[in-house]
Parts: sequence; structure tokens; C-alpha cells
Amino acid sequence: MGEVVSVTTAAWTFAGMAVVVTTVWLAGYRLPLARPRPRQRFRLAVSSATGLPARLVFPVVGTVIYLAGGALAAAALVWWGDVPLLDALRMRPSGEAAAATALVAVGTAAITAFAMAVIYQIRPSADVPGAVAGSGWIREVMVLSPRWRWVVPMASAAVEELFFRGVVLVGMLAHGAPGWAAIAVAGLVFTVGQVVLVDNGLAMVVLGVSSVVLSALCGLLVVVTGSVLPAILVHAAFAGFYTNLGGARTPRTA
Amino acid sequence: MNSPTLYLSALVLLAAAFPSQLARIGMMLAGQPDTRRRPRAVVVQLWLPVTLTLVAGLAWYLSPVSGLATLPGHWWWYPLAVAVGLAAPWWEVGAAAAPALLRGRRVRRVRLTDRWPIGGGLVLVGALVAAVAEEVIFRGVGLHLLAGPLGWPVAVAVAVTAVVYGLNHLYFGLPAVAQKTLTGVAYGVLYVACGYSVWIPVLAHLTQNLVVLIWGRWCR
Repeated sequence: MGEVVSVTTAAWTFAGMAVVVTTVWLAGYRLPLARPRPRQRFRLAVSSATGLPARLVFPVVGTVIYLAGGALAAAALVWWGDVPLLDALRMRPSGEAAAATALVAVGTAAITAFAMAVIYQIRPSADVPGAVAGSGWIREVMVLSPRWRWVVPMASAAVEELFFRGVVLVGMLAHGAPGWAAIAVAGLVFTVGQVVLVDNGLAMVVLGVSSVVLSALCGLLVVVTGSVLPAILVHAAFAGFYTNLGGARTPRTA
Repeated sequence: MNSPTLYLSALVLLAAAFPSQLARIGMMLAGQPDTRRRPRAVVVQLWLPVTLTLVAGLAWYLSPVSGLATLPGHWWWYPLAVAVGLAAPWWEVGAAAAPALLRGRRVRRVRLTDRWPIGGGLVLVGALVAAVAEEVIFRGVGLHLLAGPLGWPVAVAVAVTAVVYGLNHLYFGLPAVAQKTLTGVAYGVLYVACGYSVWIPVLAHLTQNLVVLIWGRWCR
């Protein structure tokens, strides 16, 4: 095979930068208000200052911090690591790109459904939709109106895809990493980041599995199409669909 | 083989690996099948064949290899395919009865499945369309890509596609996974032996599904 098998030092250095920037982004989103008392004080302070209902403070402010943090992290890594992000945001429409996007969209749903079937086979009493809906940021999103329950996860997914595939993966490729290594590094950082943002074991497994599936398929989609736009579309659709599926607590089948 | 072919092959293989699971998504979208409301029941029954066909079409279109529609070298592969299709339900029943027989228990009755949809023409069309789509996905594209461009040993490629095909039937329970893995091996061997013509396992699978449908109706 004509594949480069070794990862260059420049690519490893860039991977290290990506880990640092991701850690700062997610720590900035999660840690300052992790404890209940400061969290409650912040909630009441923002609510009384802005008139925003207290139950909406964290869904709104948390989302803004997450999206702004992701955009800042992407900008920082593009500047620091000299990533050709603009090239990855261009796309020449073609039948093959459209077919690959459609197949990946269907494939992510199918593999995730298979993983859930395996979980139900191992633990028939598992309540996957309930565990996901009651965990971390998804629980916070569920208090929003139906329209915003779609908009928030889709916007978050778009920013995540822009950062992890558009900047980390494309940056790894630009620094001489082979495609498989770029997909693996971007996927590993993304998956760890997703798992630490939820707070119960079953949700960690579900988010972990779906993050691995998205990382592999969206990573391949970026490498195949040369653009991050199809991956943004797939990830946003996936996030909107599954967040609302969890909230609706749909019937479950083995 | 160059990298674009490798990555496109990996994308197709992964994305098309578990198409049957789309049935779960369909049920989530539609709620449970409600046989009293005809249009909804029709949608539910057609969901899986349509989504399987979509995946098969996309996988076929994207596959970075040519010759996916090759015809077999000899005419006698066609009757052989029908014979394999006629035999398949029997070894599947044998595989279901085997654990009990090995424990020294007498098996008086083997039920095909309690989740097999009972219905009229729609079920027939669905079963036939699903047979074609599954063979295109698992043998015509999956086995072809693994044993061809990816250069896997043929025996490993047959085994892997058979296991993945079997796992697609997890919805019917673990015995069904074993049964379908066995049948997947038979179809894979048939496909490789006839010279990578997808029409042969398609014919065998169509025959098997017809036998099962007729058998299921007769047993009711």
C-alpha cells in the first residue's frame, strides 16, 4: 500500500497542542461552576441581573460558554499550529461526496443502534434514553423549548466537528500525519472530552461509543471528501436527532 | 493500492456494516407498529427494505472497485444457488436445535422466530428486496472489498462478513446470530467459488426467504 505509516515529530507536537487546547476549553466550560454552592449563586445572580428564568441560566450560559470556548479553541489552534482550516471549509459538490455523506449519516445511526442492541443484550434492564437524557449537558438542554432542544445540540455538534475534525484532524494531516493517525488522534481527544462531560456510567458508555462511531466515520468522511462540511452536517443531524430521542424516552427494543 | 481507495473502502465497509439496525430507528420514529392503522403499518413494514436498499445502493455506488455485477462463469451455479437456498432453512433449524440435542434432550419442535412478521404481499416484497440488498451489502460490496482491494485472506473475509451479517440479526436473539453466521459462511463460499458474482448468493438468499415465508404460512 502507498500509505505513510510513521507519524512525524511535527504531527506529534501538533497532537500535544490539540490536547492542551481541548483541555483548556473543556475545563473552562465545566470547572468554574462545578460545585453546587457557587453554581447556585451564579444562577441566582445571572437570573436577577438579566431577568432570565433561573432554570434557563445554565442551559443558555453553558451553551454560550461552550460554543464561544470551542470557537476560541479552534482559532487558537489554527493560529498556533498553522492549520489550513479555510481549505477544509471549501467543498466542490459531487455525486460521490453527496453519496458518502448520506451513507455516513445512515451508518452512524446504524452502528450506534447496534451498540445499543449489544448493551440491551448484556443488560436487558438498561434504560439508555433515560440515562442519556438525565446526564450532564443533555439534562440541561432538556428544559429548553422543543425548537432549542434541536438548535443547541446541533450548534454544539457543528462547533465540535469544526474543532476536532476541521482543526485537529486537518492540522494533523497538514503536519505530515497519515490519515489513520489523524483520524485516531482527533477521535481520541473528542471521545475523552465527551465522556468526561457526563456524570453516570451508562451515559459515559453510550456517549463514548457514539463518539467513537462519529470519530471514525466523520474522520473518514473528511479524509475522503477533503472537506469538513459534510462531517459537520452529519454530526449536527446525529446530535439533534439523538438528543431529542433521549428526551422523548421512546420505546426500546432489544 | 493508494490511500484514497483504502479510506473510501473503510468508509463504505464501516458505514454499511449494520444496516438492519435501521429497523430500530424506524420503530423509534414510528412508535410501535400499529396494525389497526393501515398506512402506518405499511410504512413500518416497508421501512427496513427501503433503508436496506438505500444503503446497498450507496455502498454499491461508492465502492472503489469495478466488476460488482459480474455474471458467474457457468450456468450450473444458478441451480446450485437455488439448492443452497432450499437447504439453508434446514441447517438454520439444525443450528437452533443443536444445543438441546448436544445436552441429550429430545427436540420436538423448532420455532422459526416469534418476531417474524406475518402478513401478505408487503412482507413478501419486503423479504425479497431485503435479500437482494443484504447480498449486495455483505457479499457484493463487503466481501469483495475485503478480499479484493484490502487484500485480506479470502477465508478471513468470508468469516468476518458472515459474523457481521449474523450480528445484524441480533434483534431476533443470539441463536439467530449463530444461524445467520452459518448461512453467511455458505453464501460467502458460494460467492467466492462462483467467481465473485453477486447474482448467485442473491438467488440463494431469495430462495431461502421464499421457503421461510411459505413454511411460516404453512405452520400457522
